[in-house]
Amino acid sequence: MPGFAGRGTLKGPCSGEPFADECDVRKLIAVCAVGVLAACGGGGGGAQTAPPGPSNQAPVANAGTDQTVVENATVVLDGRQSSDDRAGLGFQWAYVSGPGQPALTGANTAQATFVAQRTNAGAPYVFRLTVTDSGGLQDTDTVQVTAIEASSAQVLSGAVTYDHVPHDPSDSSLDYDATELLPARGVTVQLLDSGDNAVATTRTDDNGFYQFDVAPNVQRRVRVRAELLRTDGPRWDVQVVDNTSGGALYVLDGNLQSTGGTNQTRNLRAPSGWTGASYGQPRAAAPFAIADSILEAMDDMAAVDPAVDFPELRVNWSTSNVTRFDDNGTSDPSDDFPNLVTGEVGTSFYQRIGGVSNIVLVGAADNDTDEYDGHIVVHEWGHFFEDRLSRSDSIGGPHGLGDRLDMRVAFGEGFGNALSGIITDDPFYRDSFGTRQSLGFAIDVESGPTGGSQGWYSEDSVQQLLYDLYDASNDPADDDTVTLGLQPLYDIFTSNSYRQTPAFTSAFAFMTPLRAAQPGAQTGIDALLDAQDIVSGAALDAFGSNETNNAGVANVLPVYTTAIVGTTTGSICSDDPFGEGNKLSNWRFARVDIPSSGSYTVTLTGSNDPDFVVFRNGNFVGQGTSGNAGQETQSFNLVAGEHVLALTEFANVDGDPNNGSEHCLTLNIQAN
Amino acid sequence: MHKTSTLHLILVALLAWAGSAVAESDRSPGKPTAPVTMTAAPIHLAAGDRGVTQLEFTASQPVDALRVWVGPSEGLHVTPVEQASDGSLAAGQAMLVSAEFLADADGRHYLNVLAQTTRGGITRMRAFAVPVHVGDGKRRLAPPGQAKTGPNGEPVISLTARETVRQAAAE
Repeated sequence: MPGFAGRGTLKGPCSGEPFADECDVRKLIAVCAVGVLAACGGGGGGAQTAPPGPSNQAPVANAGTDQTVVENATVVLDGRQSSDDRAGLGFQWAYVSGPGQPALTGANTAQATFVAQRTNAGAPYVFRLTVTDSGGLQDTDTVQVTAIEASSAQVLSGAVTYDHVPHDPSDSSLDYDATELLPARGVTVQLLDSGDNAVATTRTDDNGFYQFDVAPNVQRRVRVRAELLRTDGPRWDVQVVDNTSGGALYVLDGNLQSTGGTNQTRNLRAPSGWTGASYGQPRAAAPFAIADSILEAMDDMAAVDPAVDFPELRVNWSTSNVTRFDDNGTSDPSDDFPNLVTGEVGTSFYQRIGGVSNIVLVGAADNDTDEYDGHIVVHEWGHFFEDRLSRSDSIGGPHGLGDRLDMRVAFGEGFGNALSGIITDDPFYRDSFGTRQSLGFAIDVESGPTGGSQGWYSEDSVQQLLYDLYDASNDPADDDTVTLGLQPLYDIFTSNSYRQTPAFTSAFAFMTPLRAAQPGAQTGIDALLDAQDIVSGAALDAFGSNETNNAGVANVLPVYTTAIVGTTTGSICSDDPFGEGNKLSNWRFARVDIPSSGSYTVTLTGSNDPDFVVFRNGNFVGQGTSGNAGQETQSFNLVAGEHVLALTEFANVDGDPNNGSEHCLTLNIQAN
Repeated sequence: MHKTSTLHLILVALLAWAGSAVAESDRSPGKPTAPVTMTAAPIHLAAGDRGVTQLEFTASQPVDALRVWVGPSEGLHVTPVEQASDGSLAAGQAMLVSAEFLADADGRHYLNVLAQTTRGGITRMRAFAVPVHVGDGKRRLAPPGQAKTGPNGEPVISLTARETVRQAAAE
C-alpha cells in the first residue's frame, strides 16, 4: 500500500520503528498492553485495556494492497493476511473517505465487497480494517481503492484452449501425434489480484474467448476454473474436481503480471502433459476435456429444452483413480470400495452421494484413462440425466458383450451407449486402455447384436434402437427409415407419463409412449422394433404384455405375470440361464391392480429363499427380503391402483455363480 | 439363510433408482467391459523384494479368445507379459497368467493388467489394477497440480497454463 499515510504508522511503539505523526493512541495502548510496557515508556497513565493474559499478543491488521479498478466493478477488500497469535480474529471494515459511502457486504468478515463508483474528482475510496482478537486487543490498517472511468479502461482478453487427444480410429487407442487444440467452452474465468481475490468473473464463449475491462498497469492473473456454471436460460452447475484431494476444483492458472498500459491479450492453453512416451508433465487438459464433453451433452439438451435446469453435478477425476475392483479377489475386506479418497474406484460410474450427483472417472495412466474417451463421459452423464431428469429402475451390476440382461439394466445401459453416440454424432463409442493408452476397443452403436441375441433384454438392441430413432442416416440394412432427432426422445424421457409409469423402465415402457406420440412414424418405429425382435405395433404396451421373444429359454415370459388380489398365482420361475444377479430371468416381474387403498399382505412361496420388492409408479413401496426359507410374507398399506413386484430366488442373485438354478415361485396378495 | 450384502446392494439400488425419498443412489453399472473377471491373492512384500503372482481370469460369457497384458506400473519394475488363451473359453473357464515384478519403494502400487476378449470378431477390454503392498502399503497420492486455497477459502488444484501475452501497441 505505498503512498498511503495510514499504513505503518501504528507499528512503531513496539517494533522499534519510528513513530509517525498520526499515531493512534488506542492502538498504542493496545499494543503496549501485551507485555511490552517498558518499551513504551513504562505505561504510566492513560486509559488502558486490561491485558487478557500474559501471553496474548496484539493482532496485526492487514487490509491488503491498494487497488485500481474500473468503475462499477465489484471490489473485494481482503483482510485475510491479518494475523494474531490466537484463533478467532474479528474483522470490521469501515468507510473512511472517497466518492461516497458504498454499501459494504460482509463488513464484519475478513473479505468485504462493494461496488466502486467514480466521481469527477476521481478521489479514491479509503477503508479502515479493524481486527480484534479474542482478548480484545485491536489493530487497524487502511486500504485505498481508486475507480477509473470505464472509458479509461482497457481490455484484457484472450482464448482458452485445451489439448484434445483423439482416438486412432483403427484401434481406438489415443493418438497423441494427432493432438488438437480445442476451445474450452463455457468455463468460468476469473481475474485475480495479487492476493488471489477474484476481482471479475466471466465465462468463455463457444470459441473459448473471454474478455475483461481492466485498469492499466495493475497486477492481475487469469484463472480458468474447470467449472460450467450457467444461470441464464438453461441452468447448470458442473465442477470437475480431484476426489483424492478433498474434492478440490481444478483450475488453470496464468501468471500474475501487469495489465500494461494498452489492451492486452492473454491466451491460456491447458496442455495434455504428454511428453512423447509418457505423461511427463501435469495433465492440465484433462479436466477441461471432461467439461467440454459434458457441455456438449447439456447444450444438446438445452437446444430441445431451453428451460432445462440441471441439478448440481460433481465430476471426480484424478490421475490416481485406478481400476481396482472389489470383485476380483484383490480387495482387502476392511477397505471401503469404491474409495474416492484413495482413488481405488474400480471403474468410471455415476452415483448420487449425499444428495449430490457425482460422476467418477478413471485417470490412471497405463491402466485406464477416460478423460479423452468422450463417449464414456457422456454415457455416465446419461445416468445423471436418467437419475435427475428422467427415471431409471436399473439395478446395476456387470454387463458385457452379448449379455441377456434384466430388462431394467439393458435399457439403462443401452440408453447410455446410444446417448454417447447421439451427443457426439459419432456412433463409434471408443474406450482406450493400457500401456501409453495404446490399446482400445469400439462399439458401433448403430450396429446391433448378432447371433440371434436381439431382444428387449439386450443393451445392444436398445442402443441401436435409440440411436436409429435419432440419427439421420437411414439405413435399409437394419430397417432404419426413421429420423426423429433428439427432441421426441427427450420429451418422452422427461415426461410424467414415462417417469411415473407403473411399469419398470424398459424398452417397452419407453417405446410405448414414444410410438404413441409419433403417429406419422409408427411404421418406421415398428420396423426398428421388429429388427430387434421386440414386440411392435398395436401389440406394444409398457408391460410387454404381448412379447414373444423368450431368448430361447423357458423362464422368461410373460414379462409380467398378472396377479389378482385374493388369488394365488403360481409358476413364476426365477432362473439363471444367462448368469446371475442382473441377468435375464434372475428377477421375474408381476403386476397387480389394488382395488382400494388399505392393508394388504403379500406372500411369496418358493423352494428355497424367495424374495420380493413392491413398487408403485417407480417408487419403492416395500419388500420381503428376509432369509426365511420357503416363504416370505409382509403386510403393507397400499393405495389403490397398479403396482409391480420384482420377484426372485436369492440363490440367483447372491453373487455365487455356482448355486443358481430354476426356482418356481407362488405369489399371493390378500386384503387384510 | 444368512443374506450376503449382494441382495442388500440390489435392494438399495431398487430403492434409490426408483426415485424414492432417499438422497443416495446406487452406482451405475459402469462402462461396458469385456466379459471376464480376475482374481489374485493379496500381495505384500518389502521394498527391493521380487514378487511373483498368479492372476486367474475367468470368462463370464463364452469367448473365442482371451488375451492378457501385464504392463509397466509406477513404483514397480514389471516384467511385461502378453499371453493369449489357447483357443476359446467357455463361460466359467479360467486362464492363469503369471506376473513378476520388483518393488522399488514403500507404498501401495498397482500391477497394470488389461484383458481383451473377442467373440464373433467383436473386441472388448477390461482393465484391472492389482494392488501390491510394499512395506507400509500406504497409498501415496500426488495431485496433478499444486494444492492452493482460492478466493473464499475454496480448495483448488492449480494447473499451470501455457500462456502467451501480447500487448497492443500504444496509440
